[in-house]
Order: sequence, then C-alpha cells, then structure tokens
Amino acid sequence: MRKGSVLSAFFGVMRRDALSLWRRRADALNPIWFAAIVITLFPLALGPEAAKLARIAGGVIWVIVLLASLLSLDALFRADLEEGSLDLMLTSAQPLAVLAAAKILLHWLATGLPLVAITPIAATALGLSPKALPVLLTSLALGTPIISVIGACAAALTAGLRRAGMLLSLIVLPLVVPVLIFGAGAVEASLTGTSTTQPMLLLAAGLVASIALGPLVCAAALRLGNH
Amino acid sequence: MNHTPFIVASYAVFAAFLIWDFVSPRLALRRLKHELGARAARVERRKNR
Amino acid sequence: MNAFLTWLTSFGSPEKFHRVALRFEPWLLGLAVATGVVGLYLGLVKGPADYLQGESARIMYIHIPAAWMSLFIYGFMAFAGFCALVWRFKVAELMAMAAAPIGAGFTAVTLITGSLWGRPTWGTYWVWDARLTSELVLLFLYFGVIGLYNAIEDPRKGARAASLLALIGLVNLPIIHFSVNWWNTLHQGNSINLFAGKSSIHPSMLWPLILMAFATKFWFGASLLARTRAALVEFESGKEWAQAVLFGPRRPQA
Repeated sequence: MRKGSVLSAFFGVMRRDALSLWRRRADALNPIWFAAIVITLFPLALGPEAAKLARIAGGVIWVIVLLASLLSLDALFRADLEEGSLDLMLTSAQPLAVLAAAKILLHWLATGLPLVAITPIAATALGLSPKALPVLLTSLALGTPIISVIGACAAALTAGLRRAGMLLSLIVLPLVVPVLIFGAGAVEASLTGTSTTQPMLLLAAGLVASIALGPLVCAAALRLGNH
Repeated sequence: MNHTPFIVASYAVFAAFLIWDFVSPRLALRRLKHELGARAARVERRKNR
Repeated sequence: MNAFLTWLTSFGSPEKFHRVALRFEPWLLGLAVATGVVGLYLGLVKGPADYLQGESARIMYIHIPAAWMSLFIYGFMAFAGFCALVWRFKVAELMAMAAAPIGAGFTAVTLITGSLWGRPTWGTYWVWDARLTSELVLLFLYFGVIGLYNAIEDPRKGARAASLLALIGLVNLPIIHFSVNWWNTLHQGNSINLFAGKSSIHPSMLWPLILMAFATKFWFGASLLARTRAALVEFESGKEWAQAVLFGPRRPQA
C-alpha cells in the first residue's frame, strides 16, 4: 500500500478509530450490555411462558439490536469535531466519502458485528426456534450495516449539536423502518413457513445501495455542517 | 352508533389546524416587531441618559 | 432552462420575494376559502351519506385531501431543499423550512381524522393498517426535519442540514411505503380488509373531494408565502427593507 494513496487513508482512519476505541474499551461494550439487559427485561415483563417468548423472539431481538446500535452513534463524529481532526479530514486531499466510509465500517465492526455475534445466545435464551436462527443471523448481518450507514449520515448532520441523542433517534428511527420490517419479517416468514427469499433479497439490495450512496451522503452532510 | 360527534370533532380538528396555520406566521411577525421596537427604545434611552 | 433559472434567481432577492408574496397571498387565500366553502357545501349539505359507511364518510372530505397534502408538501419541501442545497438560494432554504410545519400539521390532521373516522366505522380508534402506519412514519420524518432545523443555531446551516435530511427522507419514502405494505400482507391473518367493496366513488362524493383538494393546495400556497415572508423579515431584520416592512417606511433608523 503506497503512502498517500486512497487506500492508505481509508485504513489509516480505521486504524486510528480502532485505537481510540480500544483505549475506551469499557465504553465500547455499552451496546452489548444494553442489549443483554433489555433481553432480560422481556421475560420479566411478559412472563416466562416459553411459547409466547419464542413467538416474539425474532422481533424483540431486531428492535433491541436497532436501539443498541443507536447508542454509540452520537459519538461517531463528535470527538473528531471537538479535537479538530474533522477539519483535517475536510481539508484532506483524500475524498471525504472514503474517510467517512472507513468510519462507518469501523462503527459496524465495533457495534453491529458484536451484536450479531451475541444474537445466538439471546435467541436461545428467548427460545427462538432453531430453524429460524440462521434467518435471523443473516437478516441481522445484512441489516445492521444499513443501520450503521443511515446512522452515520444522521450523526454527521447532528455532529455540531451539544445534545443530539434524542434528535438522533428521531431522525434515524423512521428511516430504518424498512430495515426493521424486512429483517423481522424474514424471521416471521421462516417461522410461519413462507419463503424468506424476498425480504432477504430486499435487505441485500438495501445494503448494496447504502454502501454505494451512504458514504457520499455522509460526506455531504459533514461538509454542510462545517462551512 | 351516532356518528355526528366524530364528524364534528374531525372538522373541529381541521379548523383548529387552519387557525393555527393562519395565525402563527402573523404572530411571529408581531413578536419580532415588538422585540425590535423594545430594543430600539432601550438603545434610545441609553443614548439620552 | 436558462430563462427559468434567471426568473427563479430573481426571487432570490428577499425584498422582491417579499413584495411578490404579499401581492399573491390574498388571492391564494381567497381561492382557498372559495373552493373550500363550495366543496364543503356540496359534501356536507347537498351530498348524500355513503350507503356503506353512513354519515361518517363525510370525514373523508378533509381526511383524503389532508393525506394528499401530507405527501405533496413533503415532496415540495424536498424539492425546495434540493434547490437550497444546489443553488444556495436563501429564499429556497426558508421555503423548505416554512413548508415543514404545514406538512406536519396536515399529516397530524390526516391521522386524527382517520382515527375519528375509524371509531364509528371499525369500532376502534387505531388499526395498524398500512396507510395509517405509513402516515405515522411520515409524521416522524417531518418531526425529524423540524427538530434538526430548530436544534442548529445558525439558521442557514440548520436549513441546509434539514434540507439534506428531507431529501434522504424523500428517497426513503417509497421504500417505507412499500415495506409497510409488505408488512401488512405478511401479517394479514390478524388484520381486517378495510376497503372491501368500496372500489368506486359516487360523483356526488367526487366533486367535493376535488374541490377540497384544490382548496388545501391554495391554502398551502398562502400559508407557505406567509411563513416564508415572516422568516425572511426576521432573518433580514437589520436591513432597511425589513425595517420598512415592520415599522413603515418613514421610521428613523435607530
């Protein structure tokens, strides 16, 4: 990898973000704790009846993953803005979209991927039917990156605000409604025995589209806030 | 079931929205005028003191 | 195209826009009131009650036009936002942001009248029907745009950020609509088929609907101009023309 190339900038931003994440590794685990606690709350609220829990497990896990991925979004560009490295990115010779893509990818690796990884445990705890588990995992693997992309665009729009938390969820949640519907719908379809191909393909299409367009939109949003 | 209360309530909601929509820009202008007038008066007072 | 652009940019001058808006506003308002009164007279006084839904079908004369407006205004807001982002017209920024609360209002009216219609017709205020759910998501989209605009201190930056959000929402809107429809068919086992047997509209119901659709459009035009005007004067309150608008032309400058 040549120094000064686009790729080296991409991996440079990723390495830097990964390092700062590692230095605050206690914070980085917050989404996981959040998901674990909320999953415990559901049986406590609804009763331990296995059939009922198994019926709703897919939807519950999808909603929890969605909310947990919002937790870390607030900080995505905030620290960069405060310490001034965002200005460097904006004035950098490298395309801003590539740098934004690196940040989005790292956000997914640090939040979405761990959440997908603990899903089998959560699904077992709630008694989701084993034949629906692969569908749930695939739908999460396809859907969580879309959440990261949309969330990053919203985080870029709200980066300059002191208290963006509530506003961020107000912006992100309506936009990710289709992801939730197709993700949870795929699980539902596999439980009722209908084909899961359509929701899965739609999720995959959404993933491709958001990977292609998301970084560009995110870069545009970052530029808007800083001129 | 008697439908009239629901129809009346619907039209009341619509009317309330129209009134709010009509009044709010005009109120905003009035508030602005008041604020600017007060500020100008303050400046004037300070100058005369 | 070029002539159109020049014509458009001429409105970029806040003072000129204000003058033109002031001239058009009473006409739009008058047209809105005229078409609205005729439409409601035809619908409420002369029109018959629907043979299936009875008297409560009369709610449709505001529910359906409001629902159309909720989408129309979102499209307009996104278009104005696009102009604001690409050409950086100040007036387009303010117009996009002036449209947002009107659209949110029409969306709220749609939801409230929908549920008021639902109580006597379906026996419940709220059903997780595809249209109602899409409309609810649309309301949240509006709230996001308004919230973002209000949260950012610099109004111009705020307007551009909210315009970008409106554009993202516009791209997402058909997807949301499609996904909610898909979701509704997936769970059809426990939902009612709402519009069965109501495929055609009697002309006595169609005319009031069309008139109300025009009335709400004219109303939107008038309200949009009024709000944009107010925002312009506030934004430019230090300038001479805005002072003249507020206090009359002969007030000495403080």
